[in-house]
Amino acid sequence: MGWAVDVTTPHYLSIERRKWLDQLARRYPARRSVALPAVWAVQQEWGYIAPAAMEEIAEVVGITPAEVRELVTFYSMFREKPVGRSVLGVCGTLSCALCGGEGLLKYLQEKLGIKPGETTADGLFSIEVVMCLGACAWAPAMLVNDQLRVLLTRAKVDAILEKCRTDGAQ
Amino acid sequence: MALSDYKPILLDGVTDYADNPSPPTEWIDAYRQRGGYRTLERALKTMTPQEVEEAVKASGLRGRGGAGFPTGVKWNFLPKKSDLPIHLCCNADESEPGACKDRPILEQRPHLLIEGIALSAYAINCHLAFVYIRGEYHRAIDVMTRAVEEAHQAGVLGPRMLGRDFALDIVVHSGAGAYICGEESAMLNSIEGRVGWPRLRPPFPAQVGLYGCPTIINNVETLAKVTGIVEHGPAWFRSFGTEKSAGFKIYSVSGCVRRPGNYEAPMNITLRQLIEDLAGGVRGGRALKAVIPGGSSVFMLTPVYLDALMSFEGMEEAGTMLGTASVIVLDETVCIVWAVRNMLRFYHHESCGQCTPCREGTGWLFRILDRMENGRGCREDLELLKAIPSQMVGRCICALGEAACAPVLSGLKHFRREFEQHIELGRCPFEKPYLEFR
Repeated sequence: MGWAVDVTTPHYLSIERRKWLDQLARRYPARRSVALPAVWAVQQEWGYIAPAAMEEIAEVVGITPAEVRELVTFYSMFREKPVGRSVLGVCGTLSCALCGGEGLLKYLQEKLGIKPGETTADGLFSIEVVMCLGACAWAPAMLVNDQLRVLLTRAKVDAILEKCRTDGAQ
Repeated sequence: MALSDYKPILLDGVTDYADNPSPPTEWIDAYRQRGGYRTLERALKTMTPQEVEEAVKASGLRGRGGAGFPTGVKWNFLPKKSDLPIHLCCNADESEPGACKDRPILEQRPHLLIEGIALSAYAINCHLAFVYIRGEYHRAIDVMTRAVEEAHQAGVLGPRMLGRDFALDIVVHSGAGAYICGEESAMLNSIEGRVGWPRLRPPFPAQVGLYGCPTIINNVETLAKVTGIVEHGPAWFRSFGTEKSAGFKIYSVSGCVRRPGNYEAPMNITLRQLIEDLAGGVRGGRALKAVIPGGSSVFMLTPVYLDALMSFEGMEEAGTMLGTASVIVLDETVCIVWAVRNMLRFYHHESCGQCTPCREGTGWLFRILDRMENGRGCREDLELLKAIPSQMVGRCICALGEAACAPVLSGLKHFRREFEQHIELGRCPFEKPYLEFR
């Protein structure tokens, strides 16, 4: 059999996480509604959703692994591959683009030597292009992991990258 | 009322992100200190649900999420007799390019929204409400989750709302990066744990919505306004704005202006007042070229329409839509082909893939605009840019495909010459100084 994964043993979703999901599920009329929260929980801890994690999520939520995979591939914030420790989500939409957004992306690419969708060799940084961050009035903007950084300049970006680097050294 | 005399109601006490990137949140104690939850208390004590619904209907409040549908009328669509529970979903999936108006409410005034949800839930007899927040709004998700907990601890939410015989729970549900989930029926699927594919209508959500139950979906700004309407009465709300667009509105102004930001104003403000008086005019003293008045999904306007009212009817008369009232300003240096290409990249990326005309059409439009901007357009492309939308408009389950056509069709309508120039010269004729990052 190709299915060597033991989905009943907590691995990607810890006992605590499973309990939390069970509690959360009681607030919804249908258990399936915790599918997205379950995927989020795995991604927050592991950084991405491995195929085995999809099977475990499916088991916990009560849907099929294919349905979990459907969610992971449909929603663009879910990842199937590992990413760098600091993910730079650069807004690629019009309001930011009118305020240097394209230049910001280019600047990051030059400084880090990677393209959108790639990770630096040291595993510190990934760049993503995000479709509108809802920070249009404070352009250009990017997400640094879950932190929104607005009204960016070269000086600000330099400081952000430096901070990302030193935070990892600690 | 003169514009300068208007004092913000929703954005009262809100900090602009330009001044502080991590602005403080008005937590429950601060909210109560300035009279928060007193309206809910009074309504539960002295008003029937029907009276609350009547107040909202009489106020003329229209949905602030883009379509502008009268809120009271929408609530009225719920079946009068049903054994199924009724659900209320607050649409906090703010993702329309240009829109950032719900963010300050979610991050800084969560209890104003919770009180509005509680009043609305009372009006429609709903005991389980959802706030669907886009995944990228990490801070908003954290703040709203904590605020709901606070409200539970304070007895505002729970089995007995403020000690009265009315139960209400609010669940904060995080999206995960899909513009389409701002479409109401896609949002319902997303809350149910499915991919965000819009549903065919009829049946409409008011009949068959979340988990097959009657459901009302209202935007953050809409629900946040219910508190003021119930507190001060419909006449107060109608004292702002116009006959057909009662009240006030948060306008997001972005792009080529001196002071981009969220500006709250009565709905009889003109586009000119918004851009020149509030947002400080076009940056660098440049000339205005075009305005996208309601987020990227509406037709762009030329400066001829600057004196149009930023109301639902004012924008309709100008040949476009108020949408989310997110004004994107383009100055004379902006290449329209480049701007339209940018918007189509967005729609191509965000099309959910369910309907062929939208899935394929957005891709075709993007690729044509992309090669045109890069100097590889041909004469036939101009015809294609008109023919493809004719295959998309009105032929999809939801409005995304049609929205994607708005930048293309309005760009061609007002600036056809620019498209031709790209083809004739075999390159983009603009210098595009705004691309530079300093």
